[in-house]
Amino acid sequence: MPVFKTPFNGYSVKFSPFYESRLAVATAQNFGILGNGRIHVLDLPSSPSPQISELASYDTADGVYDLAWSESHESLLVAAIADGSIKIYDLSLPPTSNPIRSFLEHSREAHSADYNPVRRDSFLSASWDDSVKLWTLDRPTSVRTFKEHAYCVYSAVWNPRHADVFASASGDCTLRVWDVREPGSTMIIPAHDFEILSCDWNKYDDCCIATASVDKTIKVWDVRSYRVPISVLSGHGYAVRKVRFSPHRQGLMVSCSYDMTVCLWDYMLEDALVGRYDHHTEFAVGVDMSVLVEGLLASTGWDELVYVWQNGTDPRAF
Amino acid sequence: MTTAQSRLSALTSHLTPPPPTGKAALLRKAPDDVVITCALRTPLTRARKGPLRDTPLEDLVVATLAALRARSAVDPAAVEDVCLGNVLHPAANYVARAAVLAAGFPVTTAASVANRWCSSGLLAVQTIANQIRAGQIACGIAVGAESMSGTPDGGAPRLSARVAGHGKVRDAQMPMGWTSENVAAEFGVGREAQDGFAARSQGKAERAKREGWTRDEIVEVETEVLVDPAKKDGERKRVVVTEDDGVRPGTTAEGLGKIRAAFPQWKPSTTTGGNASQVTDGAAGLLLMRRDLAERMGQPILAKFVGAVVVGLEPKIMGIGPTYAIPKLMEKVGLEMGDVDLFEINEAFSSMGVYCQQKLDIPEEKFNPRGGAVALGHPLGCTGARQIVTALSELKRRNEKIAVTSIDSRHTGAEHGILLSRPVVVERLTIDKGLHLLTEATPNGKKVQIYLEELKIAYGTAWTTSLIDLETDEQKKPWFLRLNVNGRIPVLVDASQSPPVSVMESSAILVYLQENFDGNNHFGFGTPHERSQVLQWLFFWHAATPVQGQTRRQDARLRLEMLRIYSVLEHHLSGKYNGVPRDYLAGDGSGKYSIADMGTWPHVKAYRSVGFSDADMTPFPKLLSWIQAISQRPGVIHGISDKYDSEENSALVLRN
Amino acid sequence: MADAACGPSNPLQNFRKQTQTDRSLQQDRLASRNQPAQGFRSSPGPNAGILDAEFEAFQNGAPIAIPPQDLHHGPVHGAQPFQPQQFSGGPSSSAWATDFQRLHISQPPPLQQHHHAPQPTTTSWHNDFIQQNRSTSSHLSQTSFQPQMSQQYPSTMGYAPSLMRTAPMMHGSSLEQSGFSQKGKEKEAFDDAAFERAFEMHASQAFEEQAQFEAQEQASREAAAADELHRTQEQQSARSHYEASMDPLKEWAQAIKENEVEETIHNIEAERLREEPVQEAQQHLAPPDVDQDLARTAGELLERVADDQNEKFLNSEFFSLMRRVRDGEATIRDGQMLDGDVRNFSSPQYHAPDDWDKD
Repeated sequence: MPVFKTPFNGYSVKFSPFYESRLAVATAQNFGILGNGRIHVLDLPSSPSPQISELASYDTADGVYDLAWSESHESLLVAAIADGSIKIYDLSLPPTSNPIRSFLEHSREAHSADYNPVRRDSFLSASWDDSVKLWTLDRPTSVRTFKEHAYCVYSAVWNPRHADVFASASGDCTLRVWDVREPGSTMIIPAHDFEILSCDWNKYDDCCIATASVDKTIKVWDVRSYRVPISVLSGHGYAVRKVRFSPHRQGLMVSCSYDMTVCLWDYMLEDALVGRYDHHTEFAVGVDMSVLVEGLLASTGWDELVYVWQNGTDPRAF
Repeated sequence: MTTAQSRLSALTSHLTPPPPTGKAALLRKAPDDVVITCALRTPLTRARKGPLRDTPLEDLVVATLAALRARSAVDPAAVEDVCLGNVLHPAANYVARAAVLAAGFPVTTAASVANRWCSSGLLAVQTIANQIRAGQIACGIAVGAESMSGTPDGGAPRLSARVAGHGKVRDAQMPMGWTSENVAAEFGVGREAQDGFAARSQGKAERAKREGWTRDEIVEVETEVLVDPAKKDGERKRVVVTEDDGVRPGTTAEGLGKIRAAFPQWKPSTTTGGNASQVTDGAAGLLLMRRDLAERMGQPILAKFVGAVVVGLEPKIMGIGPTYAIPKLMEKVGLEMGDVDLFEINEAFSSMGVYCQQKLDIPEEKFNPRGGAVALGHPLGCTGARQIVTALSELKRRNEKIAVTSIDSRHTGAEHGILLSRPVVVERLTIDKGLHLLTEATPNGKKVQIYLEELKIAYGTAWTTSLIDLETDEQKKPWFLRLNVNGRIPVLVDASQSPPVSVMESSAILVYLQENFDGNNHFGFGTPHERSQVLQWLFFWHAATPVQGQTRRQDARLRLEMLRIYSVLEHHLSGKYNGVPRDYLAGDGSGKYSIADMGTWPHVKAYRSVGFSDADMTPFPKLLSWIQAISQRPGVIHGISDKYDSEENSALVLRN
Repeated sequence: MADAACGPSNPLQNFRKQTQTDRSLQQDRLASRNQPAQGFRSSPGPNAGILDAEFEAFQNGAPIAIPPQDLHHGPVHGAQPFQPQQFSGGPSSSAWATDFQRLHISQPPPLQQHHHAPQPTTTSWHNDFIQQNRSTSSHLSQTSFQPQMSQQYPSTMGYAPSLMRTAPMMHGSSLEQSGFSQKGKEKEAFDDAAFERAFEMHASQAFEEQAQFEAQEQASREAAAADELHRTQEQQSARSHYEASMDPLKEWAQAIKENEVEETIHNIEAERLREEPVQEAQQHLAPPDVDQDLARTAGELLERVADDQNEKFLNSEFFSLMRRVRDGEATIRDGQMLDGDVRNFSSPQYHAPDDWDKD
């Protein structure tokens, strides 16, 4: 299976929504504690070969914590930088012209970026400054700032169906659901007793959302009856860093954790843990499922490796 | 902190140790806990002979429901479901619905029946508890009731050949006495051991009765008995049933040893009428609801229902189920046997009672402390609920926390365990809402009173209050000084912590409440500089004023100082020096109503009592409007109301 | 409240959350936001010696026998002048010094008030003072207080500050800034003047009462309650403390008079300038500074995974870096990761003596 070695420690990996073989990786020097960062845009080999090639890379002054591909332009990338800035990169332009935008509004680390899949014209950033910001490519400043959380916001994700709805996961232990047209959050779910590091909507059920927490569990919620989760998925040995719903199967999810593993879950099954991958040798911090190729997974971690493999196969096999 | 440091710290907090399990986790309080707010039972009387012999099942159920209504004063409309645990009545479903209506509950209160043989009472409690847990209802009643006089056990029915031929099914159809002898044989529980067990049960029941311990369990039942038992339609006379009548004082093992074996046909024939459970009539009921609903309705929280398990096992050794169920329950909730303060394990027969106690290694003082079914009787559907009623009463008497009940189940061989935990008693105070305030109507007391009332409006926070009559020097007594060595009010006791935390000094109490009970920062702030502003103004007060309560009010020195304070506040609120006027003392921009204001207002608003007239206050317009705005808040109005005045509300005054 | 309606957001639950997460790190993180441009612990400045003594004296309510004009040295240099009062926006040092003088006579009473002089019973306090004023001679002149100044020493630390701060109200120069009304200059002036008058009367009466009270205090000490008695005794011991420390202050005052101060200040400055280059040179040679906070955090992090025997954790590069940081073999300085591990090694940069970020 293809593998790519990054010079810095991996933080996030995202498949391109336009090209089956393309993915972007966010990395940070010194485990993201301090130093520079780098974005890699990678192409998977067309013929079976272990080598992933790099299409482009961009250096940043501080670690890159997350990226999001544009849904409107195949060559645009949004990056969330540890210095609080949000930068836009255009692959079709030479490296010297990049980044094409740099928005510095967050007063602390920007931790996640997510592009609106319905409207395709806007994106969110979530920051350790407790706020979420809404941006469009054409405006020099943020469109809106959502400041309600009492602690770091680790993730803000758009609802796959409703153009104006998104959810945010925070260190204040709540998941909040928002409608950008409303001034405040529309729902506050005290989903865990510990920090919530990631959330993602079910691509087939727009009321279903998963939260991943420091308490080592992933909880699946129906936002309509949020007192009790639909399911609590235990199995990770440490905090769960990221969770993603499959674009192809309703109950399927992938997660990665400080326990250095990537796990596959089907919350609709009695025994939800359906797969575990132990390939990383440091914290597994980024994971994604391809929209264009069913079952294709990618993960990255602090071991400076990016793996891309088909679910059910061994990521390290050649 | 450097950036690197803060990032590393964030990472460290992600690797936090696992949440507490075990006893600590059990005793935590959450708003969606299932809690029991009322628990009672009828007397247990001998079937066919005792005063409940002519009381039909429905009348027992109505009596229990009516007693729960009366004692708890719950709004009947709030009760969404009633589950009746009953074994033998052929149409218990009709009985349940009729009894709920007849007991005066509205039509919106539903009814259902639970039957798992001897553990039906427990199953009823579990049913209601699980519904509450699942969010299907917020409040329900579980009743366990049986009239063994009226509906005796007719034995197993005939089943189809296909089913009846199955080996285990045959075992499950056998009478219970057979299983008792099987247990005695298989586990070597001899006749003497059983008689000894039975005598102890009787002795404990006798003592409990004599000491009056059962008084808070039992509600009396007004009913009728036939004057002539042979004449079913004959005259009836009214009786009031007040006591359990199965208890036989003076029972000894030797005495029991003389009784004939009840089942000579099944070896080793150790079971007798004296060491087996009695056939009995009775009912027990529990009111359960969500904790936050209980707090809103002002219901006392007797205990939290923690969890339950079920274990099936071999029908032929039915009765030893608790030895499986209890360890399973312990593991599930992360408890050790030693963490449990008492066990209620059903004594269907002494054979299994002895075995369970030995196998689980439960010390005598924790095992059925008020006796069990041998002495009290075993109305089948009632016992599961009755055990909880007894356990709660005994926990309260001993001021202990955790009880486990377990009951074996006839024929089906399934067992339950249920865990309960009780509120805390701090010397002289019984605290079941977590927070307890000791106060008197002084400005410092008012600060905290106001904040609690504001928290109640914002979050539904609940607390109990004791008023200290300062003239009696209650606050100088050792028990008080243990809470606050300074011997002053207000004092806050936070019993949601284990052990309870006491907080003195009004400003410290405000900060404590803000940090721990004001999670959305309604009255506090999240940013460090604003939090600092709050502290600054709280400290300002303490540093600026003369010692309260010890200066004569008309003193010019005091007035001078108050004048200075008013002018400082006026300058701050008007933005005289920084050009930014504000509405409240702390917070960015124009500020936000917070504990900084609460900590200052009660003193400042009383300007008349230090000799300033309204005219004197005209140089302080912003201050006056600040005083005015705060005085109109409902939380403030409640916080300074007479209910905190010991002269007006003597019911709350703590006395000897 | 909307928040309360959205699920079990009961404060107890929130509290539970909060107790389980180690919020102290959060607080640290929050504190890191407001990194001050300047360090909190500023250098003491040229007036270090003087200011300390002044502050000492102030704390002890001691008279400072300094002619006002010498104190120009203090505030003028700008570094952290000690401002005793807060009302005046830009006090002249004479006003400030006069306050100190006033301090001599501003002897706050102990808290026992039972044997106070009988008060007029009118409800309005300024009426009280107007009445008082009529009955006693004017106390507005400072000089009239001089005789009392020498006789009486301030008795506690408790009241001195408050009176000290209110005293400047008496001075015309500061009143412009201390007007309470916002309605217009005229009104402001009027209010201020009226207020000032009333306040003066109030304060003067207060001072007079103080004198009266002092006289009475001797007689009524026996009758005081246990608390008040103890407090009075505290004041007594403070008094004797003060007397014992009088002598060094006298010397210091003498030194001020003789302009030795200026030279001292100059010497301190010069020395500091001399020291700095030495420090710089030393930085190049000394082993890299270890960030203690970082080391501690690394230690905490390691503790969190201490029980993990997983091979991957034991062999992890990240955790071995954490071990090096904890043990001081690796650290972060100047935005650079300095690691004993050759791969990450970078040469130490110039290190300014005052690294405020590290505080």
